Amino acid sequence: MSWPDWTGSENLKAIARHTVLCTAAILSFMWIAFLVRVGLSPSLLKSFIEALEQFLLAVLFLVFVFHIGYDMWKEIKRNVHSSQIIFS
Amino acid sequence: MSTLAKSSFRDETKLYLLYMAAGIGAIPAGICYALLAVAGWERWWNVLPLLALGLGSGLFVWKFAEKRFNAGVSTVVVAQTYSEAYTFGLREAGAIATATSLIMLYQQPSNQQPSNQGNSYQGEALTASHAAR
Repeated sequence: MSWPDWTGSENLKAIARHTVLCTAAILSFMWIAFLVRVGLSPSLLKSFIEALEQFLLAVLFLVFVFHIGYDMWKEIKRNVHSSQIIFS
Repeated sequence: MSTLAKSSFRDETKLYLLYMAAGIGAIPAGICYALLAVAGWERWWNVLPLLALGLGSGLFVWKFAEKRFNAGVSTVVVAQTYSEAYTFGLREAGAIATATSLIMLYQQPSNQQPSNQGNSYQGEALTASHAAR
């Protein structure tokens, strides 16, 4: 397997797309959490919302990593399969 | 907006909504984590299973939402294609073609043997049956 199998144009496009949209989703969650924190005055609920926000951001990052890995794996499989067809 | 731009915008919006859905799906596990964090029981042996649970539920909600979106998009695409076909008169052309082929089929006698027997299995079978007699 060569380096272009990993860095094909489709892979880079998918990574850029996932990065931008996952960042947008993370920023949306941070914005919602900020609004809720501003609306809530008790400190206990504030720390609760902060912990929930941290957890959700971590889960979103893991989902992002999972999907990037899954997309790359699919692309690599397709590249290897097509190169096998071409060279056979 | 062109159809390609519309489709691209729809794809991007769909992916963004899928990420949001995955985040919303992880909220129950996040509430458990937040309760533990507020109580001061935030240890790695508590956090790791909760993260795994959150990731699993997020991916599950992602899959579910993806299926729903795909079903909705395919219905829209079929409806658009059908309406465009109707606009450009393809339905009429299809109906005329069907009627013409039906007329041609009815005009051909049912006991007529195919003319090109040598290239088909039917022809070979007929030749074989003649040879057997």
